[in-house]
Amino acid sequence: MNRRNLIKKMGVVALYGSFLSVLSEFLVSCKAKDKILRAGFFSDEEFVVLSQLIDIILPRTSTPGGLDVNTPYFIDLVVRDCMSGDDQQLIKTGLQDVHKAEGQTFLSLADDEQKQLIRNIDENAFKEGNNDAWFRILKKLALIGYFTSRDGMTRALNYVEVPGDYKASVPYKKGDKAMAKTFLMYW
Amino acid sequence: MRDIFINNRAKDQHSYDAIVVGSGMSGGWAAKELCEKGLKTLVLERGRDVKHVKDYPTATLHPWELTHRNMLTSEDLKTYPIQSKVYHFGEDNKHFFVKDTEHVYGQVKPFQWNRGYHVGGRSLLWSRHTFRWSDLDFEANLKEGISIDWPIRYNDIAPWYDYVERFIGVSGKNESLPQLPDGQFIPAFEMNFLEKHLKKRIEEKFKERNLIESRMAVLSQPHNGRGKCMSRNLCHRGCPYGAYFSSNSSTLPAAYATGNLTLRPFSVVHSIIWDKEKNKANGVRIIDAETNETFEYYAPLIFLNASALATTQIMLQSKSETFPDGFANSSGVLGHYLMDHYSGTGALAGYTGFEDQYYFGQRSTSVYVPRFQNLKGQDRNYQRGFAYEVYIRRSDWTRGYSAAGIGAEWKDSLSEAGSWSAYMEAYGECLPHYKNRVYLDETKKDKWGLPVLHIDMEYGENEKKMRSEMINAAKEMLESSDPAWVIGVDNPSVPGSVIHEMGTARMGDNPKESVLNKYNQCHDAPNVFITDGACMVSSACQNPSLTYMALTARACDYAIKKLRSGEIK
Repeated sequence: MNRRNLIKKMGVVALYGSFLSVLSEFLVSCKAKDKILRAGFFSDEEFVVLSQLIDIILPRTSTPGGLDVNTPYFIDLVVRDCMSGDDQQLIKTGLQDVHKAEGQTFLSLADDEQKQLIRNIDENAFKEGNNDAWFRILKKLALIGYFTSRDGMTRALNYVEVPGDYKASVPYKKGDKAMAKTFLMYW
Repeated sequence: MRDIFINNRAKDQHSYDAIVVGSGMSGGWAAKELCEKGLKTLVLERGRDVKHVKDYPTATLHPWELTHRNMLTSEDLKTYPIQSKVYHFGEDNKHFFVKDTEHVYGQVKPFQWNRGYHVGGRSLLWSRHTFRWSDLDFEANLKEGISIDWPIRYNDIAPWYDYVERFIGVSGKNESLPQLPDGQFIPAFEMNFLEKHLKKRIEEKFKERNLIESRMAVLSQPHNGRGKCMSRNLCHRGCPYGAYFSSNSSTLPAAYATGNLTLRPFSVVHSIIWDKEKNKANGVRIIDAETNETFEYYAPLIFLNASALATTQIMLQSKSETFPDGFANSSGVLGHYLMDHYSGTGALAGYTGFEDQYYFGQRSTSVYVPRFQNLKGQDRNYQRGFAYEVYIRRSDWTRGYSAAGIGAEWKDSLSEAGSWSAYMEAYGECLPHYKNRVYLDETKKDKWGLPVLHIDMEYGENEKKMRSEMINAAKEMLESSDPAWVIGVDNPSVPGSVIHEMGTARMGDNPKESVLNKYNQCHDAPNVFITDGACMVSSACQNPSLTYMALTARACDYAIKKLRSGEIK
């Protein structure tokens, strides 16, 4: 089954079934041939919520979506390998809070309700004084995971491996893809 | 010297015409010059070998081929707590930095000592800015009564600047600015639209201020067998085209080509061997970094190019009856007058206009505002001055980090080029002070049993006095260029972090006040030369590498003449 469809489907299934049944389908898929890549940091539950979040933050448009390029796996990996214990806990807690939001499981909410919930979390995270909000960290990792992936770079950006001569001035019009920067710095 | 270090191998096998300690920016030049003049030269490098292209393992990787897409792991931060603070330290080039856990030093006050222990050293990692110093710099100490006078003037070094520039290839333009002398340039990399706009405004509005294409050791056209820049902006991984200057791409291959070069990696220098009877240095004693065995190498001529602090560390380690306080240290100034540049301060501007303008490729060079303060006598409340590196580009998807937004429309908008921004960062001269120093703590030993270097440095009042003008002048220049907003940036650098360590074995005419004479020759040991950052008498505000290279070529020329005339035996 297509990874993205599975994750999408989980949201719908969850309206009718329990989270556990979604989870079990997800776990079966993890063992299937087209398996969902995981680094093993997040629990099953957290990974499912994370995947749904990524699909809301970076949906498929005319360019691939976050799920198409395994962004949840990247986040699972770098939270495991690159984050301090405090930040790891912050993100885990954030995902768990989303999961339990509104007194029911996140995945049992309708698409619109899910999106509104995430939109609220996002807007709140970028209010002044919330610099350390878990969602800021998550969104940064999501953007890195997406825009530095092969498809993110080559399809959502203009990746030129060897540009050759530098051209100091070229015209630009809205909608043109930006040059994909290869010198990756995250500070 | 203690006898236990003397090995019994045949001396002949370990004898050369010259020994060079270090293979980085200046050591590579010493190797090239000495080898090309026919001297059988041994280069000792404490780290591993790095061959041009072959040993740049990440040079052509796509970003997505890096496991963590260049993010640092918690393990990296534990292994490289100091090195990881360098702006380009990442998964793609951490193999060119020392492991802080293995290469310890003491910080009496915070000092960020960034190092690459391998063939090529930091010449693989430098920012490539290549500026001449002028008599404004060489005369400043004398005119202001600060520290001691430089024993050379611009005219002494100018032909050597020419010589080095012609070999390494420096892109830039002649501008007739007395404080930043012209040179032997290949074509500059063109400015982008907003850079040109800012240049026009600055030069219209501010007397004596200029925005110029930075002079950089990056090739805009093929040069001396090396390829031109391909606009990838991945210099810090090592360049497969050899488009920026490094020892690995340029000077060491030239030295190898003579057949006179012997390179010995994994050679941690223990000390310089002093012959009391003959009153000269005989050679160099090393510890093999892999086996811990001790070896001795002999030569009538020795160049120390281990980098400012490492060279001084070797000198301090080389104690003898003649030199109880460190090699060639009868003056007592060895280890003192440490300098770095002062940075981290400037301004940032954002623009809403010019959105129909863009560029193609990723230029690895910048633009530059040369020093404009105190050019004709002191007219500020501080001495000397500062220059700006200026970085102007359109933002990319990383702008998504810092504002609310999710979903399809937001995601698609991040695929487009964002607004223009300009960042001006000041680099200020640092005055030499006796109290800024390095010394050995004999009670603490590293993994080879050598005493640990301790660094005691802080910026002085003069540097701090520049700070408000560093911010305000950057703001007013940016404000002249139709920005939407401008903010001051004030994160003063930690000493060492600009990676321009200078001083600790300075030149000077008076042997009582200096370690080296005007040819970088030890006053106390005429067959030992030091031509890395250790020799510097003041710091100017320009990046120093070109001056190290020119001084090295000049000192090699002098040393060979003295060797041939028999004055050095």
